Amino acid sequence: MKVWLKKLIYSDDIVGALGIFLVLLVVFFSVMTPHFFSLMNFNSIIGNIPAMAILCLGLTFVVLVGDLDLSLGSILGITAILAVFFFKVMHFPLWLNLISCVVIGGIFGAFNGAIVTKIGINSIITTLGTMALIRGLTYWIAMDVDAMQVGRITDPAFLNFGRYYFPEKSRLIPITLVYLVILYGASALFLNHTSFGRQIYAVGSNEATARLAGINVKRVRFVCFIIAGMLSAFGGLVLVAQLGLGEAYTGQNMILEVVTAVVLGGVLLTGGKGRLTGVIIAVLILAVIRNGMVHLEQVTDISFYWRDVAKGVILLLAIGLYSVRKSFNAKRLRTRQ
Amino acid sequence: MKSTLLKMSHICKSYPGVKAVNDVSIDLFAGEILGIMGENGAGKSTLIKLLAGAEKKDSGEIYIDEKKVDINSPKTSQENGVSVIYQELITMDTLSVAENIFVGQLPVNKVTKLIDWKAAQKKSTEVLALLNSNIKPKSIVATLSVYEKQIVEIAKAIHKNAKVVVMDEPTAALSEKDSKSLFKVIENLKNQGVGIIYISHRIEEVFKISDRITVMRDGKLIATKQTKDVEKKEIISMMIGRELNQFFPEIKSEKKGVMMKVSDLNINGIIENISFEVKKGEILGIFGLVGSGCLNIARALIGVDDIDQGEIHINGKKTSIKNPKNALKNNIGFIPIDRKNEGLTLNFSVKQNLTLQSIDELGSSFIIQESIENSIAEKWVKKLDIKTPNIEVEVKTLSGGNQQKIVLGKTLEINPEILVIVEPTRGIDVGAKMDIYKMLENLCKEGVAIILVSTDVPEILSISNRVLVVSNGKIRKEFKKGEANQQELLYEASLN
Repeated sequence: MKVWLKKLIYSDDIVGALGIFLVLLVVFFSVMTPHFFSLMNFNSIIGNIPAMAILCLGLTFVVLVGDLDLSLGSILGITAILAVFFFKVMHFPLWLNLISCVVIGGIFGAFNGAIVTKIGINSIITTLGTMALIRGLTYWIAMDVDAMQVGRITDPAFLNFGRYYFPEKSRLIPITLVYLVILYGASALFLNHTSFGRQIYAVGSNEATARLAGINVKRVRFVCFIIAGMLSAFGGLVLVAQLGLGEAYTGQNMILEVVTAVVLGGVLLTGGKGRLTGVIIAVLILAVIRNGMVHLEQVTDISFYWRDVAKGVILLLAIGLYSVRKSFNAKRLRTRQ
Repeated sequence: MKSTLLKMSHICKSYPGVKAVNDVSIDLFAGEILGIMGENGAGKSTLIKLLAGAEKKDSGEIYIDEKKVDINSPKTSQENGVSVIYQELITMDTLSVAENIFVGQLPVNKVTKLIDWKAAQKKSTEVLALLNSNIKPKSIVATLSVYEKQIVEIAKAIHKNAKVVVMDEPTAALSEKDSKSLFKVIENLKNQGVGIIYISHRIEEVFKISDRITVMRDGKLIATKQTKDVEKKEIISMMIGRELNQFFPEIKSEKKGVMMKVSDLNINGIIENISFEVKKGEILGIFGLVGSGCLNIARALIGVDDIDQGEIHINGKKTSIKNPKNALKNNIGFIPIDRKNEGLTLNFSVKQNLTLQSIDELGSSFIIQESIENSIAEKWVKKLDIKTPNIEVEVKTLSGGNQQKIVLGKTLEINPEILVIVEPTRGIDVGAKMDIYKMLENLCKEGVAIILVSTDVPEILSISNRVLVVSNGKIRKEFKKGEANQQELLYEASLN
């Protein structure tokens, strides 16, 4: 076997495989459809991912310590409504609106974290509960917002928060892309080069060892929930600015795709392993499939309903490949015991 | 004599590098209790696993009722009438007592083919009555005590008409009262003609209930004796084989002032009035058998087990240690018993493991300075002679000895004044052992106080300045260096 092929198959790192998979997808859709390969379309793909990518980033922190947070979509939803409410009813300036929403997101995250670490309830169960609870609150607040007929956001400053381009005229780089680069970059630095980041991986890899090494395990997990909450709120704000409105059902059903992307990106659900490059590539793969299937539907008679089937098949293939590789590795690394 | 129920003849089993069971033959008669004794690692558990079908033997034959049987899986073992009750009970805790007893064979209604719960309960009650137990068949097993769970396992064995029942350290987690009830149950089984293999460290128990005793050592059968014809001390000297001082360096150190003073440490129902002192530059050994509570003492010292009562003074100052972080702040280092699950983060690199405890001090800001981290890792790789391709490889690829050195290095990086170490050389090769002893000697010279908890008799006798013997949660005896031989130490530890 060729060396690079061997490396690709045996490497414990999923990132390379995902990258190649993404390239293959792009080539496939570019060949099969006339309009997929264009700057405009790429901008549209990028434009569709920010909220999703930010939520995935938040979830990654939680999954890395071995927990799961299913309420992130709901936190995104409630901040979307609150952003509209703060802006149209309370007349908050943009900066105060941003800070308030992110703080509130952090508070919801802290609430999750407190239940999980202080009371000791399993994070899946906890966040299943808070997912419904926060969504319910959102509908309740939205009722008021509707009653006041505050409607859409038209303020250019707020809209620019999600729609601005650098440079403004040639619409080359969307501001949301800048957010993603900053957030992912800062998070990667935080995870890989700070002692707290190292502690996150340590807790997720082996809680007992981490505890004996003097790491405050509960605090680390608690902080990860807060980070996830704050990031989800920020994602909600970006989405509101992009869409120009916030509704009660914003972000509903989003969490399933977020979990899918994080798992596909190679973050171990049991914690301790996973890289942000993998996560962002997985987000891109899902976005390319979604976008590419639309293009494919226009040039062939493939039905709209095949979109989800294709997505499912591709995900199973990707994850199946990962498992096969893992068992290869397990065999290779067998040791005497 | 009664008929031979079970005969295991010339059984061998090797693991890479070890002959775990080496040409062992035992037999068991109907209505007999055979005690099997031996130190940790003598091969008792492996022998039982072979009988239970959990492991496959390399060679040898097993006969049940004088017919040769082929035991190659837990299923075939059970079909041949063997039931094993492991020390770590394997009850299905979320199910009811009846479901546990009838696992896989619940009675069904003839017409509907649905489970006949009434019949199941009635039969369970009958089986439990044979054991003088009034556990309710409907109870969920998780709500039962350890003793009651054992009864459920025994009931399961009876229900399957087991001819041979094996019990591995059944009393390790039982109170005295429950132990007595269990002995009655065992006698009862014996009178019904069941053959029982009883494995225990507790010599008095084995003498009280067994008909014959088999002693194993280093995978070999040493002797099988009629219990009534043999002395306890005789059995213990058979259990001990290795010569002292063969592998152990003479650790010399100068002992100065008291480093740590522990007074009246209590964990309710676990350890009782534990008091001792450790001087700077001294190795204090704590020896006890499985279930004696010495692990709890070690864990209490580093804040893992909560203490109910008692005081710890460090350098003459009263100190409370609530969690491992606290312990580290007070310069107490810890080497846990379970290298893989408590000592290391297996998917971290050598470097990341070595710096895990000192991670907060890596660099001035909260960003880790890689150069400092690398130099710490390189330092310990060199100092402890850790054999690794480089400091970036995951520790799970290294051998046990090198892994243990990493655990040691990680702890020493915080410059502990007190070191609590549990089984530091379990399962590692002789070379790595010597390196670790040498390191301990250096630490003593530097004035570190070391508390060594070990079940390795020659090790603890050779390298400790003093040994405390713990049994049943209490300190039984203190031996100064050279005061006790292996027999005496083991004898004291096996008294209740």
